[in-house]
Amino acid sequence: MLNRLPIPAQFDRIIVVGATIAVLGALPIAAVLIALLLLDELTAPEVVFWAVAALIVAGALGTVLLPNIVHAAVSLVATLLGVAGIYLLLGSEFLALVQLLVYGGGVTILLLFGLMLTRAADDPVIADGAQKPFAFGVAALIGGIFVAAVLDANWSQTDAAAIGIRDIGQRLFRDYGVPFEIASLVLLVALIGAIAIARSDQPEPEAAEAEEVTT
Amino acid sequence: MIPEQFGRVGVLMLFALSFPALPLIVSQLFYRLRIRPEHPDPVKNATYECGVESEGSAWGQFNARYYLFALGFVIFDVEVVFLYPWAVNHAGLALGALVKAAVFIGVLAFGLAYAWRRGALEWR
Repeated sequence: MLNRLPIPAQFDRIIVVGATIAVLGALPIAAVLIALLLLDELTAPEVVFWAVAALIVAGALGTVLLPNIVHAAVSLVATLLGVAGIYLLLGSEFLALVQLLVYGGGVTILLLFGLMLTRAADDPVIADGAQKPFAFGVAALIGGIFVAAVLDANWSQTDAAAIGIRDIGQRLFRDYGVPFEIASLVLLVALIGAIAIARSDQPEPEAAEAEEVTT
Repeated sequence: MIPEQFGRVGVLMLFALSFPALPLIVSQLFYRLRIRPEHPDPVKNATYECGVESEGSAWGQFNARYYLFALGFVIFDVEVVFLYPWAVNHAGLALGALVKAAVFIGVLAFGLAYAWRRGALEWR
């Protein structure tokens, strides 16, 4: 009997753990939501809202509770994508797109690259420490303040129509042309600055040839 | 109106996600029920069936040069955010919008040319 390689073994474990979480966590929620939908207790957008909210909460819990920091980062992606779903439910198509591209794409890439590039050992980083109870206390305090503020707020009941992405395009290109072009200059400065900083240590193309190419 | 349209996309997405997920789950289930035989060997367990053989673990440290590609990706990611309102409605916008978008792309193309000139796109 040949020994199994470590990576597929991990993969198998991830499948088992994922399926277990899905069966124990997501399926009851989905069943309850579908039952309420069929009983006309909830409308379809409400069902989607509760499903997305469950995804956000599960992802946030995974972010802070998973010991492996890469798993926590992937869990954060689920939360960020869920927030994009909330924006879609609110009719803010453009905000959902920005959330998806900037947070789901850019910030996640920077976060995961930061983890991939700086890890010293060959083992997954275990991000768990003695400060966990204190962190829990602080998080509970801030969460309590947020919940109190939300419950205390006087929500205005205006039926404001969502601003469509076409309106944003009209305003952006008709009324805000100069700021739009300046945004491209800001991006240009960021790009050139990133290259200048990242390349400053290797000015000569030939000098870097001898460096070893690692994984 | 918009949530409804995206709801249809969401249903399609769930349907698409079930394609890779279901065989894995069913396979694991059959293994637990002792229906599926289990005869692993290193070739079967390789990450890729064909292509370059992978070396080491994915948990290892990666070369810091990848970070430049990540930064470049983020810059052009934000460019997409700015160009999307133009792209979905370019027929409804005036000709000036086309010029503005062209200038926007041109300025960033200058950045891409600079990156190319400095050799930031090369692996070295």
